[in-house]
Amino acid sequence: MASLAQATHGELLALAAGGDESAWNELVERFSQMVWSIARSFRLDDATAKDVSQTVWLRLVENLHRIDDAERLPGWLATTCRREALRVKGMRDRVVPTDFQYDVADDSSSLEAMLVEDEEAREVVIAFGSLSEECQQLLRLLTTEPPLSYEEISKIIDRPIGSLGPTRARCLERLKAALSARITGAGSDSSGSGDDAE
Amino acid sequence: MTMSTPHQSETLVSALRKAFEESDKPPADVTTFAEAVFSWRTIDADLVWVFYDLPNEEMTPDE
Repeated sequence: MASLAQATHGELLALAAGGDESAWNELVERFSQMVWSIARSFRLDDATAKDVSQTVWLRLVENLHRIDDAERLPGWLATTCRREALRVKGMRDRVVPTDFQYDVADDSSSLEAMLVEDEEAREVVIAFGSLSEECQQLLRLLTTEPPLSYEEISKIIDRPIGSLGPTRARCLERLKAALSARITGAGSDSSGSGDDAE
Repeated sequence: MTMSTPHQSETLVSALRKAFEESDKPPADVTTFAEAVFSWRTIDADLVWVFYDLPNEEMTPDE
């Protein structure tokens, strides 16, 4: 094999199952951004998204010998991440929040924006933060690297595959409108109300 | 609202992807954990050998 970077997912998985640590590290390099994006698409805070991502990698190492169709590894990771994110969200929803927790606003998008040095990218992140939860989740899943298929995204968000294209178009229109509003200076209200992605 | 052309949509998706790559990378400790967890795959077998190597008296419960 010329190099691990050119290896297929299946080849890497087989090598890792045989004990090749470099192949495992290449899998981590290849998919860590995707796993992280899926976890974050469920609007988990950083600490919880970290727990979810780490659990996904633990599950993969436990199941290295059990994944039958290795080329479907991205789908396996996506499904495992979704299950773990929903499990954690379910546990969190069962916890009665304190007054303090009620007072904490979700400002993760503005925090992310502060980290972006490129001005155009920063505007995109801020405009993204004004979209509905559904639009944010779909757009995050559409921008993972490596990309997820529509079939995989449909399973993650539990929506019919046929609805994804029209919803994607609507969400992108809203993102474009939010960006335009910011650029023309009319975007001071970024509440995102009435922005459902049904 | 005017509809975006497919080209405009792709440009917007690319801009969003680039923004996330810059603003929302997986934290370093997540990738460090993910790499380290590989050594755990043989932990059951390793534990068997640890116990196998112990002298017999250490395996006997206290009376």
